[in-house]
Formats: sequence, C-alpha cells, structure tokens
Amino acid sequence: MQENWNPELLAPAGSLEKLKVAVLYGADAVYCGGQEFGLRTAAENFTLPELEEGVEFAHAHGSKVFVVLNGFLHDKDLVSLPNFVSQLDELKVDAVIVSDLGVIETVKQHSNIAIHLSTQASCLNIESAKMWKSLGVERVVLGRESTIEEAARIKQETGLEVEMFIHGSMCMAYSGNCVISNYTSGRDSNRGGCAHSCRFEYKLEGSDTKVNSYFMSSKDLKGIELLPKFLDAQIDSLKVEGRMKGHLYAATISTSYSQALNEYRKNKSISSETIEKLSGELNKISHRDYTTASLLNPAGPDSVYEDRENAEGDYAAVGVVVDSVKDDAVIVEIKKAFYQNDILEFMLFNGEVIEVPASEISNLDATEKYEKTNPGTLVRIKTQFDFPPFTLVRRKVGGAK
Amino acid sequence: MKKVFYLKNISELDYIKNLSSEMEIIISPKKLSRLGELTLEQANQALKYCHQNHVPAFLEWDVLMTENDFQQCLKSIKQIDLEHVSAIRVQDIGAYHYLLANLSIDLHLIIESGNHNLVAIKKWEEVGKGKLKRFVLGLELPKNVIAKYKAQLSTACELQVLGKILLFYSPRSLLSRPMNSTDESIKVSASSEETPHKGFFVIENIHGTFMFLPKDQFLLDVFEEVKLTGVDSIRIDHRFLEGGFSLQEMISLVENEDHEKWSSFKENYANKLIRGYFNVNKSDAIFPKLKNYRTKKKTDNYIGKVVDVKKEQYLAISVFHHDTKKLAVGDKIEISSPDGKVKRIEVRSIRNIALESIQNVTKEKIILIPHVGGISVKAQVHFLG
Repeated sequence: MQENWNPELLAPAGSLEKLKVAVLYGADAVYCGGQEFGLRTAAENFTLPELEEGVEFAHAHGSKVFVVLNGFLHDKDLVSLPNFVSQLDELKVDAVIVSDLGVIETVKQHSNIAIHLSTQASCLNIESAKMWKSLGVERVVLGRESTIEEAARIKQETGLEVEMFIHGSMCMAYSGNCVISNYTSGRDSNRGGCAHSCRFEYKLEGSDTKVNSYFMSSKDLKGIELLPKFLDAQIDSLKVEGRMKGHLYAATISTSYSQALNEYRKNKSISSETIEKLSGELNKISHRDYTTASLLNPAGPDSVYEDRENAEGDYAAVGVVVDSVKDDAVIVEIKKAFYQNDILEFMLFNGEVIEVPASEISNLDATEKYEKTNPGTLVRIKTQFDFPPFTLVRRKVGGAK
Repeated sequence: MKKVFYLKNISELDYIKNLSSEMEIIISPKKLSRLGELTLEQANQALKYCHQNHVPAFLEWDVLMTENDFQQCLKSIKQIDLEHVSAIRVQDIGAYHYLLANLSIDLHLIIESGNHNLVAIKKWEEVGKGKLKRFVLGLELPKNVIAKYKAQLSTACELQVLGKILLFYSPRSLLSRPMNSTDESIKVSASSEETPHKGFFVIENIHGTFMFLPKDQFLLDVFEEVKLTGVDSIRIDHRFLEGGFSLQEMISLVENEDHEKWSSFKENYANKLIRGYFNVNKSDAIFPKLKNYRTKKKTDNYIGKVVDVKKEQYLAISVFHHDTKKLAVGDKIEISSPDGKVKRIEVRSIRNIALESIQNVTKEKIILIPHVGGISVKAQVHFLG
C-alpha cells in the first residue's frame, strides 16, 4: 500500500445548491456543467457567476471542481469554446472533463487547465490510455466496462491518474456508442440530448419467441462493498454518477462514501461493519436494483433492470435547510410535503442524524401555522437546534403522520 | 472512386475473382470484428485469396476492448497472415496506438463515434504519422461538412452508401436471458410503445449486443452528391440487409454506376431506405426547447430566484451574491415568472429571515420583500437596466 494514499471522492453537482450539498457532506471534488458543451442539456447547469461561486465555495472547503466539456462537439460548437475555456481558467477550476480530441486541443491552446478524459471516450485499455496521455490528458475516467483489476494495470503501466465510477446509473452501451436518440428523437445523445430510449420496454420477436423486456436497461452501480478493492488497486478517484438527481442523493452518496474513506484515511482499513452500515444508507435512496456491473468481472445478463420505475427509497427528501434563526427555528425549503408532528430527520454533514418532530410549522413571518407543507415553498420549523444551511431533511416514507 | 464490400462468409470468396481495380474487400474475423463471422482460419484463407487475385483486403479489428479483451485480440492478430493484409481497420484508440507503434502496416481509422469536428480529425491524422491511409467516416456528418473536411485532409475518406445504421453497441449479452437462448448469435426484432419506430434489428453475439435502425442507409440515389463531397471510397455493407443479398449482387449493383439499377433497387427494397444525416444534421435544434428560457438565469444583473410566495404578504427571494451588486431598498428590479409574466417594481422594504427590516442585503441567503401579484415560485429576479 502506497504511503499517504488518499483517494478522492468525486460527486455530481447538477446545480450550485447541489454542489454545496455534496461538498458539505464530504465530497473531495465535484463535477458540474456550464450551459453548453456537456451531456446534460436539460439539467439546470451553471452560469458563469454560479461557477465562480461554486469554485470559491469548494476551494474554501478544500474540495476541487471539475467542469464537464464532454460532448462530442461539432465544428460550430467549437467556435465559442475558447472563450469559455479561458473563463474557466480565470475561475481556477481544477480540471475539465473532455471526451473529444477537438476539445482537448482547444483546451490546451486556450488554458492551462488539467484535462481529464471523460468515460464517454470509452478508454478501456493500456494502449488507449497511453495514446490519450500523449495527447495531453492527465487523468482517464475509465469506461464502466473495465474491472478494478484492469484499472490498476492501466494506472501502473501509464502513470496516469485513474478514475472509476463507483456508484450511480449506467449506460448499457459503451459510452459514446449509442445514437438511438439521434435517429429516433432528433436529439444528439452525445451533445446532451439523450432521450433514455434504453429504459423503454420493448417487445422482442425472435424466430419462435416473443417476449416483452426492458432488455437495454441497466441496473444501477453500487460499489461500496468493493471499496477495499478500489483502495488496494489505488484508484485515484471514485466517481459517483448523478447530476440530474436530487439533493438527498447528493447528500447520501457524499456522506456515505466519505465516511468510509475517512475511516480508511484514519485506520488504513475499513471495517465490514462500516461498509454494511453505509451500504444500508445507500439502500435508502431511490434507485434501480443495484449491481456491481463489471467491477469484478464483465457484467452478465443479470445486470439488466427488468422494470420501468426506480425502486422507491425508504426515505424521501422533504426539504433543505436554507437558513436558521438562532435558538428558535430553521427555515426549510420544502421538496416533498409533510405534516405537522411528522418525525423529520436532519442529516448532519458528518453522517449523524437528528430526529426533530415537526411540532410547529409556520410561514416565514410566523403569522400563519400550517398542518401540511407544500413543495416549492419555504416554512419555518420550530426547533432549538441550529442546523446550518444545506442540511438535508428527510422523512421515512410511510412514517408518522 | 474505390468501392468497399464485406465478405459475409467464406462461400462468397468466388465472387472476388476478376474484380475491377477499384473494388476492395473487408475481411472481418469473428474474434476481432464486432459483427464478423469468419474464423481466423477462414480470414487467412480469404486474405490469401484476395492477395492472389490482386484485390486489396482489409482486416477489420473494430471491437472496443477492455485490457483483458485487448490481450486476447493481440493473440488473434498474431495468428493472421499480415503479409496478405492491405490495411487494418480499427476503432479502439488503443488498437490504433498499438499498431502505430508496433507494426509496419497501413491503417484505416474508424471515426464513427464522435469526431464531428475538423480539429479532432486533423489531430488523428497527425498522430497517424503516414501509416494512416483512410478515415472511415461516421454517418452523422452531412455532405457539406464531409466536403469541407475532404478539402483540408490529406488522408482518404470512406463513407457507407448502403447498409444498416448502427444505433447501439453494448458489450453485454442482452438477448440471451429474455429470449431464453444459449445460441452464440441471437437475432430479434424489437419494438416499443414508447417510440414510433418499430422493428429495430437487434443482434447478440460474442462481442455483445447491437441495435440497428429499422430504416437502412442508402445514398446511391444521390451518388453525384456523394462524389461532390470528394470522398475517396464508398462502402456497401450487405451483411444484414433485408432480402439476403449476396456479395455478387452488391458488386453488380455498383460496378457500372448504373443509376437505373439504383432506382430499381430502391423501389424494390423490402425496407425503408433513408439518407440519414447526409443532407443536414439538426440533431441539436431541439436543445433550446428542452429548457424554459424564462427560468434560465441571466449572468448580468441577476439577484436571485423567488422561493416562496405568500399572497398579500411577501415574496421570499433566495439571493445570489455578486461581488459587486447588492440589493438595497429603493432599487428597481424585474421579476420574471416561469409562465412569462414580468413585473418591474421598486423595492419598498426588505426583511431578513429573523424578520428584521434591513436597508441593504449583505450576507442574507433569504430575504422577504412585499408581495407582488402574478409572481410565482421560481421567478427570476434581476436588477433593472
């Protein structure tokens, strides 16, 4: 084991608020997208001032910010890229995540920003990594088809930093090798327009068999049980998918994986009890059935998710603390309705959970009491705890009402 | 112009005799090629036969490979009689790197996935160091773009003019379980209620699962336009076309560039034929519509967004903190609701979350201003002017 080995937890940040949530809950780095050049066109994404605030916030908390420029860009898209890249350089983002050689060339020409190769480039072997290194890449985000053991060899043979996905939704196709949306929805999946046709149910007709199947839909990746193997392999960065997902997801994955990594940093090992406990936390968020996909061996037919909807999590995010009034109340932005006297769980940044009964809920100027909250509004919840902003509030689904 | 064909199976070898000089053959061994069906022995037999008959033969090594797969493929490459190979066609950048560094053989780089800009393609050309002889272009490039690239590249370019359109390439075996089959190759037709397109052709083989568009690519009816792009080679991939055409029929279809034959082929073809993106590619045109532009934040003069509305009492605004501008009582602001309503007002009072009146917003995250009719949550707030 390398001395002072310090793997990075890289979390998704679909918005400035989620960036702050991920950082506060323990992410060592976050990745986010600007208004263009990424693969999540429909996501909220970041304006330049938001990126500036996000970078300042992350750096102040010791975290890094990587900006995705991972679309397969056409010539006309490259016209405005140099200006954006220069601005990112000025903002001191820590790296850009790129899949297109044209973008790599542009970034090199207009900035000094470190370049990470996106998983979209499907870099899967030593020779490929060597090629990308020669083209100016400092880190490769390996395709999700690589095993941990293969990743270790790639790192060893190339000297590149290696990043692997450890959690989240997965493409069934080799990343960058699916254009279903382009031809069936007129939306370029490799410039952010993926219509998720792989999640549809299809009727399959063979010569003598007809069946309905979600045959292209992948189960979600969950690698926490394999964390010791990632660490033994000295994988530099453990990445979580999910820029389109909500605040509870960002908080739960960040706090769960960071707690495990913190234990490792302290003890040079992670106990099976810790992994079991944190794995349980990850089961509480909404997800498709989990799989370890190809982390140990190539994913088999059992990695297909035979359903349309995600499995409901045991918990739902009901709100996010936006401010607090000392010794009196917290102001919560409501994400999902709850009722007076429901037992709310406030998730602290260190992973602890504090239960608070919602005994008194009112509007912001405390002139009206509520029995039920409405999503998209702010409420004042009476409590003596001073929960800091961005504290997630969750509630057990079907709990006290 | 060169005309490139696939050897679908070894029984088609006979058709290769006496081919005209512009005809070329792709040999696709099962172990190296995504959709290949030849054993290594058959591939060697075919390569030798082509060599003896002076037909350029290209070895297709177009699978994407994890490191373990890569090592297996290298074992297969070592069993190929490379002296009979005119060029090796690769897609995996690792294969490209390996061949450039280790073998003295001409290469074709398949740039079907991504590579939609000249900067990238020119760099791949530079990396090719004289061994790269051809780009196999993707189907998403329209004719004007291909022509532009051709004018600026010194490497030859190839375009498919007849064949299926590959939509999806997965390394996973996705059909064997639902179809309850242990066959090495499984073929099905797939349709979904959630898309108007019916009858996607899907095949599972030892390399994974491949899905194709129900309509097939056909550019022979616009052959003059194809020629105008300047492409050096056209490719005819008959392997999965409707009707089970033979290599002989395909050679006959294109050898004399007979436009009547092409019209007749199109008319009688069992499937729909399309030009794909050859005329134009507008696959990003819908992007601006995927977001409500009214809720899109402007970078200048942005104050924040409305996060709560209490009728006749207050608007709560989540404040975005600029270094320079701070909201103060008396400022004129514009509030734009997601439904399009816009209100311009002067801020008469501001309260913090402790309900204290303040004159200027300093570090407050949430502020309350007097209620403004017609404004809803998620409205964007900006300084006026």
